[in-house]
Amino acid sequence: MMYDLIVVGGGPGGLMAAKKAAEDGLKVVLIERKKNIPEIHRYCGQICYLRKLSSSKAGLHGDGYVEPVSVEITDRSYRFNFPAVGFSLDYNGPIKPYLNWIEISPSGYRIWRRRDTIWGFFYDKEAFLAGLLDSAQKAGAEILPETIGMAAENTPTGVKVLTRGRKGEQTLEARKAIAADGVSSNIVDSLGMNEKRRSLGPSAKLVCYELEGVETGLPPFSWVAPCIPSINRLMVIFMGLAAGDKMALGSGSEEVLQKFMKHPKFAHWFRNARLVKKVAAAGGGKYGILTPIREPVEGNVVIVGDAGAPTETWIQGALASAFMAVNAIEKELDGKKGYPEYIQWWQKAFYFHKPDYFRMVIGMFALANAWASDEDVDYVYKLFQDRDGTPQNIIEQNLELIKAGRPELYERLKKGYEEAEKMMARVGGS
Amino acid sequence: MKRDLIVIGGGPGGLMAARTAVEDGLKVLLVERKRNITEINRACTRSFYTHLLSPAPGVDSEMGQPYHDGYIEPVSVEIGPEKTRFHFAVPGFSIDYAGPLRPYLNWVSISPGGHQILGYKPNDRPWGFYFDKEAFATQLLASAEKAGVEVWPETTGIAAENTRDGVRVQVRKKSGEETLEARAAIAADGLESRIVESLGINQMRQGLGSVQFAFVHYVMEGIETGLPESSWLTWSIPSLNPFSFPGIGAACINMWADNMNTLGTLTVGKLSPETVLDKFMQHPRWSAMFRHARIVKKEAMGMSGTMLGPVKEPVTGNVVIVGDAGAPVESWIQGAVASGYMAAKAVKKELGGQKGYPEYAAWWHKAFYFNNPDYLKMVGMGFSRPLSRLCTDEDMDFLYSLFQGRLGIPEMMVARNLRLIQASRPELYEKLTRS
Repeated sequence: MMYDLIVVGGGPGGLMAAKKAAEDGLKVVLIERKKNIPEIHRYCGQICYLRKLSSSKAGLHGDGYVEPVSVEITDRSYRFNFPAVGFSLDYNGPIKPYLNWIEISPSGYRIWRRRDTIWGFFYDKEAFLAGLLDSAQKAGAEILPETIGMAAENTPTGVKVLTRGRKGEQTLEARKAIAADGVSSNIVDSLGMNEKRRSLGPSAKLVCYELEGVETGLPPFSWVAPCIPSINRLMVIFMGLAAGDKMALGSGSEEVLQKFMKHPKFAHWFRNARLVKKVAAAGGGKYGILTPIREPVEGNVVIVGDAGAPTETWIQGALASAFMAVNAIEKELDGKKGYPEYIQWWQKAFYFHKPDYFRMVIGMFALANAWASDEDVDYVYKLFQDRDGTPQNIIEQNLELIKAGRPELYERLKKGYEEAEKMMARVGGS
Repeated sequence: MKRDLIVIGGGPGGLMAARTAVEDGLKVLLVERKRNITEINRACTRSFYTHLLSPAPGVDSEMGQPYHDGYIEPVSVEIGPEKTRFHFAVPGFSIDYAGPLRPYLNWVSISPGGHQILGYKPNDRPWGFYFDKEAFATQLLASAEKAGVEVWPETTGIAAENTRDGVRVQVRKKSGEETLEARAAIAADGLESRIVESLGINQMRQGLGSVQFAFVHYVMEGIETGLPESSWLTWSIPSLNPFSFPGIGAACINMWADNMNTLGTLTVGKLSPETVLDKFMQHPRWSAMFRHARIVKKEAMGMSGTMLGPVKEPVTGNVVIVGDAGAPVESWIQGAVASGYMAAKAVKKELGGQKGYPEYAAWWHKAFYFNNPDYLKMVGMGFSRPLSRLCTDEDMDFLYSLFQGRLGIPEMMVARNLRLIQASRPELYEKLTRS
């Protein structure tokens, strides 16, 4: 049996692709490794970002989808609007605003990346995915759970996808396929598309505790990012919102989390806290962190979301790219050109294609390398206490102020930023 | 050249009416008493409510729903990367706003000793927003002026009189009185509207009883409640303020810009609101909230006289009434804006030779909760308010303790659980049932 479209992967991108394709009348099958498709095992911030964090000034989370997204709150439900791409999705689960983003030093000095302004919403990704799956099925998409997409092969008239399910291996055929199988995509690998990608470094692990009863004394609805070199020099520690009244505390390893929870300045946050759930995730895939795929189309296979990205495309980026990919496929099936437009859009819509992205990543590491002690961070954060902005940028723009009080720290920071520029020249030049 | 439309009043309703009419090609004059039109001196919580019609998710509908008296047509708030848009689904228009926006996620009713009853499932979803009404009005005024509305500040509309082919509006300026003519007028001059009064419409409104009330709130920095954040908090403390108005309680703490809050109270009769607020700030159980607090600004409003029911028909001859000018209570900012829009559209139709007023009147009757017969029942309950008037502080603590942490409206919960009260507190049961 020949399908119009095989979608590999049942995350936000894959489900969106299956839903749209089925609604538009294509004969579509979606395959997904998991049995219970909307269930999430990996850590995910579950954030809908409103701010276009499109320059390095925005810092750490300026790495995803940069087109505007808005959240509409009505009497009964929520609507995620994608005005740049032209669609909306309804959602009716819990939702909590993020109002602040606080960078905090070991002794508690704060720099506010965002203050008292709604910059995003936490929402329940499982509930959201369940809704998408339901509408995909209602629209007629065939769903095959517990089925892994192993490889794809272009044929003169379409594509063959090798799958492995409970009953063994099977080959599905379709006119087109969408690879939405995430950061370590089998499909992308099987098509040889990783050969053209360069490594940006090894994969980073991420461990996250969901905790009940955390008492930070900080304003609620905050993303909190403590900078504590003595515990963890390179990997950030963060605390964000989780379902119910829980908080999600994450970092590179459990050891870091344990140390942080026992840190004399922060232990009181966790006095009445209870660990509810432990989840892990990885930054990067089996080959480490790879540069983005520049041209996310190979023959009859179109790549969406994390499958083609060095880092998270965000849920909204996965959704938008799926929508655009299906549009492109429909045009191509119609005998028109759809791929060039998709490729162009892909290169424009994600921050990780811009040189600024590398500058930001490198700048972060440069800064992290410059800290010799917790006291360094306290000194600098105290100097800029309660300022609004991103620490990397505030520090870079005010190096001279640091020179007066901490000449050696100044030298280290200066060197760090110079190194960053040099690395930038290398990366940017190639 | 004769004007098409004179809008009396430069609040949200008047500004929206003027902008809508001028964008539809009418020649519009707006007059407003104040010099700085968008400056707000009256106490107003600056709220935009998104949860209106249905009980909040998780609230047992038997237990009632948070108090509402204003505009009940669906609205939504769209929060985007650059700006916020307020959508009005039924008339079908949207307004942009750029300014602070703080979501309300909780509603907590609190007894003197600190028992809590919840209006919404905690931290689940926003049910409304604080927004900066001055910034909103300033942006609306700017777009109205840009679109060509003529604006006269420091000009009070005193009276209106229908003529054969239009309306004469008498205004008072610094330089004296003047009579203006136009083909139609919109009365958006608020509660105790002079225009409505001058047209004799008030004689036809139902008297809802004689009231004397005062609402005062302090804008404060540094309040530390230790209670759920992003909340609308109301206290029922009969010893401080025996009149506990729905939604306000004996005292209430609401949100404000820049992480500040307001502390407000509504009093009836001679009791001074300031006295209630001062006592609350010194209340042994609650004074700690104000240890580091500072009053930044005070705002007040009040009314003395006969409270009038809604206008029966919001159109008289060539004069259309919008917002609070035709309402017994607040039509809410969103109600004023929606009626301003609808009134301007109706005027445009009528001036073009079509029927616009019947449609406006039909919409008016449907869009506001105060036009619903249930409203009068609610007012009756609110004004006699058996709970706070019959109970001591200790009684209140007992009643709230029965429903501690539950979702619902305290008055409704008590009314539906009288037997429970009878069993353990027969004398309190007697007091409550006698009323």
